[in-house]
Amino acid sequence: MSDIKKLQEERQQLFTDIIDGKTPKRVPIQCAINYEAALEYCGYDLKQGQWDTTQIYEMLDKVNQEFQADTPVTGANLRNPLFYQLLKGKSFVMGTNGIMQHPEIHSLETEEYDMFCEDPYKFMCDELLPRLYPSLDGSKAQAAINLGKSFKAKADEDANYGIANAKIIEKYGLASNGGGGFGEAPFDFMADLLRSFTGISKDMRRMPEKVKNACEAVLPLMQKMLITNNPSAYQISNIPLHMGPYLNPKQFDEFYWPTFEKLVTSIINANQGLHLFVEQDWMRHIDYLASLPGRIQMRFEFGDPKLVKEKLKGKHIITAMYPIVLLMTGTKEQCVDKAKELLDVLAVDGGYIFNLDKGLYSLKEPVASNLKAVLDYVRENAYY
Amino acid sequence: MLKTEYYTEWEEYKKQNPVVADENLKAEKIQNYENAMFRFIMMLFM
Repeated sequence: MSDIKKLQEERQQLFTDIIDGKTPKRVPIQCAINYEAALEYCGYDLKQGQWDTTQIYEMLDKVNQEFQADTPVTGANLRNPLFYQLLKGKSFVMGTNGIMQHPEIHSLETEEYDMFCEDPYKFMCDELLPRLYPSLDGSKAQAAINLGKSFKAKADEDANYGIANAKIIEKYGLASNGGGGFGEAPFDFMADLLRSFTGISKDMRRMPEKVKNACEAVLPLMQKMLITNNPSAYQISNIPLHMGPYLNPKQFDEFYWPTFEKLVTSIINANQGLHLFVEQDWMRHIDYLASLPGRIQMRFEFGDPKLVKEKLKGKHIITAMYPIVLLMTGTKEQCVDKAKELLDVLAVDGGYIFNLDKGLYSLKEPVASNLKAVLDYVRENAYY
Repeated sequence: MLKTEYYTEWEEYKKQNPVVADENLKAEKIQNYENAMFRFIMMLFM
């Protein structure tokens, strides 16, 4: 067996052990360098580089060589501007700085809740898609042609990334900690592009039953997105959590939790691995998260590491909590000290995957140097 | 279980299209495209 294959197996074993509830040889390391940050770091123009994907391999090669983690450090460009442009999308548009931005828009009107709930997917295709994507608002033939073009564009760009990333995985002997589906909590799904943050906030007060019915109606869609054809505990589906921190305990209990808990329970019962990106600060809902079934990877952005460990230890897997803001504001020593501090609290007895609290949008100095120092420290010292 | 007019499971597809025989290869290919378009459209709402 080649050295690189052996390294890959050792890295994969770190994740397998964590998922199985065993203490791994070392704390596994993940790192989240967003596509935009990788482009900029490698000297490509941010606007041009998102359209010209011929440089993907060189870009991935450089960031994975310089920032060494156990899995690939840069994922696919989730908001590739090509297919949004083909659809004339209102949902995600490129800002003047080259970053894709999400304007606060909605597609579903309040008087349409009942029709929506009869067959949400059909209503989304018939009525809501053309509102968000005006290229689909022409004749049936025009809409079909434009949808076909955008679907092909997305598939091609995903394939470009996939081929390059597969080569990188083999070159550097990297592990996998993903491969499942992607979806949202039903309430978050309603709050994002259907009713918007402000819209759903009003609806909870003015038409609570309709909001609850809609969450129940979209639950099967999310199950379909998150449970793969051949589920496995080692194939990880991903849910980013959005609205929880903006709800008071009563609202959370009434609107958010019931369908989210059903969703998670169905995923775990299907033996599908699950990763939750717990965005913002969920400390006041931590007991809810602790009560979820299975052994779920929970990536925390903000909060109290000691409380998180106390509530989740022995049950769920904790990841992240490393504050990326420190990489910009701190010295190398302060950055490494923060990693030590988090390892001392979160890595005790296993059950912790090192990661940043969110993806980096820039590696401008001192971020790159500080990040390398932190990754080097964890890789060389976080052994059990 | 997802029930919608715009997504068809293989068993339902066979009923609507009896010309396709019950062969795993066809089932997998057709269902893969059904799923790929479903995921793409859902992604446009996330």
